[in-house]
Amino acid sequence: MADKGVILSVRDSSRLQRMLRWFEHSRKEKPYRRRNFGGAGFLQASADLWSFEVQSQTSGKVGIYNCYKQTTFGVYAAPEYEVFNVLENKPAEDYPMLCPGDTISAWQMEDVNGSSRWVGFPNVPHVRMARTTEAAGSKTWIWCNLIGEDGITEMTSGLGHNIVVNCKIVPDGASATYNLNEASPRLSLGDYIFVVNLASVWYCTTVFQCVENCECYQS
Amino acid sequence: MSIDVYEVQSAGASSGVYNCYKQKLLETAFDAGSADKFDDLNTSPVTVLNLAENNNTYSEPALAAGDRIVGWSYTDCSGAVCIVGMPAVPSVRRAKIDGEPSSGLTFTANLFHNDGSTEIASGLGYNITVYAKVCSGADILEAVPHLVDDQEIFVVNIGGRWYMATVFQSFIDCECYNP
Repeated sequence: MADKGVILSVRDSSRLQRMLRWFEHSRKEKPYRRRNFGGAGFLQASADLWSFEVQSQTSGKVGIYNCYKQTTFGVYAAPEYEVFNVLENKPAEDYPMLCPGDTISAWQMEDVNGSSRWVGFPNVPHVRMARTTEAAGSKTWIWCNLIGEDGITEMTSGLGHNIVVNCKIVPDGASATYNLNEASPRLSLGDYIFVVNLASVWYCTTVFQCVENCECYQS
Repeated sequence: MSIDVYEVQSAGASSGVYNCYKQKLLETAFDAGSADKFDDLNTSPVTVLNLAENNNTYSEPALAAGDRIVGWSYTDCSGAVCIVGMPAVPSVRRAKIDGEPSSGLTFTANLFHNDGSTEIASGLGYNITVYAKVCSGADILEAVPHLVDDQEIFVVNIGGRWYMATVFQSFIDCECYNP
């Protein structure tokens, strides 16, 4: 007697394949491997987690970047994908956290409409280094350029260039506000500081102390 | 298995564990603007372990209500499946000193919400104890910066303890010399 074949639709065939893969994975105790993408270790999930390299900010959208996907280790190539950095959800201001060359580990999430979106978290330290492009002035903020993921490259254009870094100066209250040119450490042009992006606002992590200039007394 | 986003609601039964709500990604997520891109998928609590708080010596939680965690399922050696994740918030946080600091190396502060809007007034992130590191000294009242009530500072949670991100320098007050 001849074997009878079963004809499946493309959709049913795809569903069957997914079920078979699920059974295979759930049967085996497969340990998760630790993988490094750009220095941040994490556990690789069976959901596809990919590494992307930031190229630019998606126009008008803080926290969303145009990125190249990693093809082989350390190699990124067009086309560009829009990737949302979950650390920049609900930004209070308009200063992006990332700059070109930074990498993001991302996976695909479905939104409530069923559209597939790339969502991820950055593979760079939350505290960044920045270089001042002016001396401390009569204000509580200072212009800076971010230093890139490599720890060397100063952002002299585009993302990370000319960022406003806000500084906290003791005492900091309604009764008195001191400026950076009245505080210590006293920043000058070209100094390196450490900054963090919180709700799309850049802050210097150092808390400054107001000081009074005076002469040293030598008896 | 999928990777999902969870929102912290409260502290869980042990250090680094949080009761969370699973989040859904809104259809407006990739639109321009500053709106929250996530909302509760439902309000069924899910327990999530923050991997950044694994193996802590101390037990002060690193996260606050409203913080998000990127999580995925992980099978432990007994075969139980649990959710583990990494926080979707920067590790350095903004905080405000609560009360005039007194002598010693610690003071009290409240974290700001992750969206930077307001100071936390209760629950996780409220009334945290912050430790200071002072060069050549052991008293923040004899060091700079000279902290005051309501001062905004930056803190980081390391090993289950909050530290101020600025290193202090001990000093002695003196009069300016006017010849």
